[in-house]
Amino acid sequence: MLFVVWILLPLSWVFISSFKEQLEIYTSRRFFPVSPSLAAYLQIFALRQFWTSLTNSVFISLTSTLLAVSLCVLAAYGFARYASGWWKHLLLLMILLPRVVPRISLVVPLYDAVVAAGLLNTHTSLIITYTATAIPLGTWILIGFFELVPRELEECAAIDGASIARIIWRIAIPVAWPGIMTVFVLTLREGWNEFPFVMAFTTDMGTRTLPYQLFLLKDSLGIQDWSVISAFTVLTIVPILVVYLFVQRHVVASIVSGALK
Amino acid sequence: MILPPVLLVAAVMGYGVTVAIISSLQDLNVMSVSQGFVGLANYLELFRNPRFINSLIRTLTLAAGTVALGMFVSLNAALLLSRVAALRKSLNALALVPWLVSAVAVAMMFRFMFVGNAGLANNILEQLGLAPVWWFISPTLTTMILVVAVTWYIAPVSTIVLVGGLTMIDRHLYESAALEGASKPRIFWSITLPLIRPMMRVSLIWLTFASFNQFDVVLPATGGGPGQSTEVMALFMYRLAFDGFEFSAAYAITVLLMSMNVLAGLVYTLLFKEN
Repeated sequence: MLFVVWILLPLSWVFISSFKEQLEIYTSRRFFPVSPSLAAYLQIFALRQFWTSLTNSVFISLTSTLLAVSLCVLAAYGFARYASGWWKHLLLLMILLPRVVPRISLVVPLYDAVVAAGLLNTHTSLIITYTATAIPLGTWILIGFFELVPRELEECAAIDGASIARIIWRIAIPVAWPGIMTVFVLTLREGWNEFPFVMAFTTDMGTRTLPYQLFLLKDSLGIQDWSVISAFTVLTIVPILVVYLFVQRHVVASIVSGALK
Repeated sequence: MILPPVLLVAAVMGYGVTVAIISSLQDLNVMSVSQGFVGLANYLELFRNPRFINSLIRTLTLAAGTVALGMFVSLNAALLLSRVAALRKSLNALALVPWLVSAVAVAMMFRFMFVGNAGLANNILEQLGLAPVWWFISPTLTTMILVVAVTWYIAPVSTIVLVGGLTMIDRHLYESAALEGASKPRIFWSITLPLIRPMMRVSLIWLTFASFNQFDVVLPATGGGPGQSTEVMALFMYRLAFDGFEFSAAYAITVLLMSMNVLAGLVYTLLFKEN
C-alpha cells in the first residue's frame, strides 16, 4: 500500500542503516545490512554529549509538560465553568490570538529577554518558554472537553461539600482524561523536538537537548558518518514514539473529533 | 485560576510580539549614529535588499509546493483511511507518526535519503542501471526534496483532521447518490467536498502556517543552500539576528512573517465563509 510506504520508507531507511557499518553505507547499494552491527549505537553511548543532552531533554520536556498541563487544566476549567459575557470573550481572545504567532517569530525578541534576565544557558529559560507556548492550544483543547462534563455531577458533589479542587480532581479530570492525554502528548512532543529556542538560548553543552545535539553531529563529524547520524536519529525518535503508542487512541480520537479547530 | 496561565502567555508571547513590533520601527544597530525611532525605514530597506526578496520568493515557493502536495497527500490518505474497515485504528495511529519525529530528525532522514554517494535514491537509480543524481547541487531538486520532507512532516495532522470530516458524513448519502447513478468523481465533488469544507479550511490553515514559518527542517537539511536557493524568510531572519547582529532587520522580518500568517488566516476565513 502506497500510504504505508510513504510513512515508513524514510523511517525504515534510517532505522536499517543505523545497523550498518560506516564503510558499508558508502560501498554497498543494498537496503539491508550485510552483517548487522551495533557499532554506531556503541559509539553514541560512549559520547558524554549524548547522555547530557538526553538528561536535559527528559528533564526539560517533562517539567514543561507537567507545568503546562496543570496550567491548562486550571485555565480551561475556569473558562468552561466560570467565565461569562465579555470577560469570557476577552480571555478567549488571549488564548486564541497567540495561535497565529509562530514559534520562530518569537526567537529574536525572547532571546533579548533571556539575555536581559541572565537566563542564557539555563534550563529555566527553556522550561518557561516551552510552557508558555504550549498553553494556548492546550487550553483550547481542554475547554472543549470540560464543557462536556455533566454539570449535575459537579453540583451533586458540591452539595455534598466537595471543594473545587476536589471536584476538578475527582470528576472533571477523569471525565476529560482523553483530552488531558492529548494535551500531554502534544506538549511533550513539542518540548522533546523543539529546535529554534534551544539553539538560540543555549551556547554550551550543559543545556543542549537531543535535537540540537543531532544537528551539531552533522557538522562535527568530518566525513559524514551516516550510520552514527542514523542511530542518533533513531534514538531521538523512539522515546516519544513509545509514549505516543500508549495514548495514540486518545490523540487520534481528539483530533478526529475536531480538537484542533 | 484562569489568570496565572493567561498572564504567563501574555508575559512570554504577548511580550515577544510587542517587542518585535516596537523594535522593528527602531534603529538598533550598535554602529549607527541615529539610534531610536525610524518609522518604516527598516521595512523599506528590506524590500531594497535582494537577499530578502530572494527569501520571500523561496518562502512562497516552499509554501505553495507544500500546501499543494500536502493537501493532495492528506486528502488521498484521509479518503483511504475513512474507507478501510480492517485495521482502521492502527492505520490512523500510524498516519500521525511522522508528526512525532523531530524536525531535525526529519531533515536528517531526507538528507540521508538523497545524499549523493550513500543515499537511498541513488542506490535505487544505480540498481536500475541509471546514473546517480547529485540532488543537493540543483536548486530545483533541493527545493523539491524540501517540499516532500516538509509535507511528510506536517501532512499527518491535516490528514487526521480530514478523517474527522469524512467519518461524519452519513453513509446513506453515498448510497442514494450511487443508486441514482452518480459517478464516483461526481459524488466526490458534489457530496464529499462540500461536506468537509470546515475541515478543509482547518487543514489548509495548518499546512500554510506550518510551511510559511518553516525553519527547523530547512536549516538542518540544506542550510539554505545550494547558494541561497532555499534560504526561506525564517532562516534569513535567524541569520540576520544571530550571525549578522542586524536586529532591526530581523525584527522587521519577524513582523512581516506574523502579518503573513494573519493575512493567510483572513483569506481562508473569507474563502470558506458560508455564502
